[in-house]
Amino acid sequence: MVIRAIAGNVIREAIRQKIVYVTVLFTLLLFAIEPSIPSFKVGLRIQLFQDIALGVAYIAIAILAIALTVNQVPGEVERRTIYNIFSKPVRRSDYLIGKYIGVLVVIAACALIMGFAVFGFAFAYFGKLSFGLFQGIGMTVLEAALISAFALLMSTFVSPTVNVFACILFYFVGHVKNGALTPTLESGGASHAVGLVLKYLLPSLENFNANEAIARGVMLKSDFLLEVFLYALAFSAALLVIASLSLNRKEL
Amino acid sequence: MNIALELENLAKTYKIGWRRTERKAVENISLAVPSGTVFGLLGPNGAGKTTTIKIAIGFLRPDSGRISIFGQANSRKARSRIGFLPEQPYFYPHLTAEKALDFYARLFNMRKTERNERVKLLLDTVGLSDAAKLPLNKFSKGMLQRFGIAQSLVNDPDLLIVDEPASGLDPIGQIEMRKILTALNAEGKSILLSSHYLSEVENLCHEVAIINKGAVIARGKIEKLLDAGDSYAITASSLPMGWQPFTLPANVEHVNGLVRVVVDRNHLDGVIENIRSSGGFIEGVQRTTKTLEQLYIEIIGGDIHGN
Repeated sequence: MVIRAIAGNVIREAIRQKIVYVTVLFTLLLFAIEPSIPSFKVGLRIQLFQDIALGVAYIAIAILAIALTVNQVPGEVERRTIYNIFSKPVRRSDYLIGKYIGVLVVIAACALIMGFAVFGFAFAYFGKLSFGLFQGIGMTVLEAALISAFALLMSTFVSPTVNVFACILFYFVGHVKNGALTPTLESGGASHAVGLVLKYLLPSLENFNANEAIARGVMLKSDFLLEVFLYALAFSAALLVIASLSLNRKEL
Repeated sequence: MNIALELENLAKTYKIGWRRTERKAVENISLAVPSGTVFGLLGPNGAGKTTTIKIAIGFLRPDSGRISIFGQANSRKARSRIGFLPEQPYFYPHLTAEKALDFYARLFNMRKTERNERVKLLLDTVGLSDAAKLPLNKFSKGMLQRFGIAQSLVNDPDLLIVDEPASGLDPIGQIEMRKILTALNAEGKSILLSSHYLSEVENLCHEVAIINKGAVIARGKIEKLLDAGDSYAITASSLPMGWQPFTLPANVEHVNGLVRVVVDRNHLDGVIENIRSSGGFIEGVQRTTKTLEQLYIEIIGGDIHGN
C-alpha cells in the first residue's frame, strides 16, 4: 500500500512535468519527418527508418529516465515534503521502491506511445507490420530501468545537477565499457584485475541495444530477452539496495 | 504519571562543510512530556529546538542519549503514535486537500472506507471541509497550516509534535491555531509545541522548557516558573500625591490617580495599614506573577547580554 501510494504520487507529479510531453512529442515529430531525410533515397528504407527511430527512442527514453529521477529525493528534501512522509511509519526502502516504480511506469507509458508511433509510421510509410519494434522498445525500457536505479542511488547524496552529469557518464561508460575494457582484460597483472572488477561492477548498457538486428527484421529469442531482463533486474536491485542503505544513513 | 515523550541526555553535533567543522546543536538535553499535557519548547533561533524535535521524530541520529515514546524505545512502531507538523510545512501543491490527506492516510496502510471517513473528519476538525476539493496551491498560509495539522492527525496520534505552528500566521490565524490545539489537548492528546510566540506558549502550555545554545536552561510547570515569589500587588486610591509606604521594600507606581504597591508577604499587612492610615482606599490585592515574556527576557536576555 505504501509503495503504491508513493508510486502513484510520482506518476501524478510526473504527468505534470513539461519535459515528459516535450520529449515524447519531439520524438514523435522526428519519427514523422524521418522519411524526408536524404539518406532514405538510397534504399533499405524501412530498415533505415526502424534503425533511426529505435535509436531516437533509445536516447529519448534515457533522457526521460534521467530527467524524471534525478530530482526525486533532493526535490522532496528541498521542498521539505519528505518530512511529512518520513514522520509516518514509512520505510526508507519502501519510499525508494515507490519512487522507482512510479518513474518506471511513466517511462514505460512513454515508451509504449513511442513504440506504437514507430509501428504506426512504419506501417503507414512502408505498409509493413514490424512487431519486433516492440521488443526494441522493451529493451530500451530495461536500460532506462537501470539508469533510473543509478540516478535514484545518486539522488540520495548528490544534487540534481551533479546527478545529471553522473548519469551521462554512467550512460557513456556503460555503452563503451565492453570495447574499452578489452585491451585491459587481455593484459596481465594489476590492470587485468582492475579490468575484471570494472567488467562485473559496471553494467554493460550495450546489452540492451539490439536496434540493428530488430531494424533488419530479426525477432529476438525469448531466452535472450529473459537473460537481458534478469541482467537489468539484478543490477537495478543491487543499485536500489545501495540507495536504500545510503538513504537510511541520510539525516534530514 | 505516564510520560508521552522522554528525552534523556541528547547530544548532537553537526559536521559542516568540506572540513567537517563541528558545531554542537544540542548538548545534554533532557525533558519529559507528561501524557495529556501541552509542553512548550522555547528558545531563540538556533537554540536547538528543531534539532531536538528532529531527533525525537527520527530524522536525525543523536550522538548520544536516549529517547522513549510512551515508554517504548524510539522505533518506527513507537513513532506511529506520533503526529508531526513541521515548521512552514509544504505539501504537493497539485493535490486537493482531500487527495493529499488520502495520500498520507495510505502511508498508514488504512483501508479505503477508513480513509474516507478519516479524511472527512479531519477536514471538519480543522475547518477545511469547504476546501476539500481545492488544490493546495490555492490555499492561503493559514489554510495550509490548518491542513498541516490535519495531515499530522491522520493516524489519530497520541502525541502531536508541532514546530512553530503559528509561524507566519496573522492574528486571527494564530487564534484559530490555538483553538485547534486546545481542542486536541482537551481530547487527551499530548502536545509538544515549539514556538517563538510567547503568548501562544503561555496560553496553551502546562509545562515549558527553555532552550538556549543547545541546552535546557529552565524547565517546569508554567505557573511555577512564572510565580514571582511571595509578592503581592496592592492597588489603592485616594492617596496623596507622592505617597510612599513607611514599610520597605516595596515598588510604588502612581498611575491615573491610583497607586500600585508591590510588596512581599511579610510587609503586606503593614503596607495595607499604612495606606488606610494615610486616608487611602484599598481597591484590590493580588498575588503577582511574571509574564512568560518577562521570564524569557530574564533568562535568555541575560544570557545574550552576558555574551
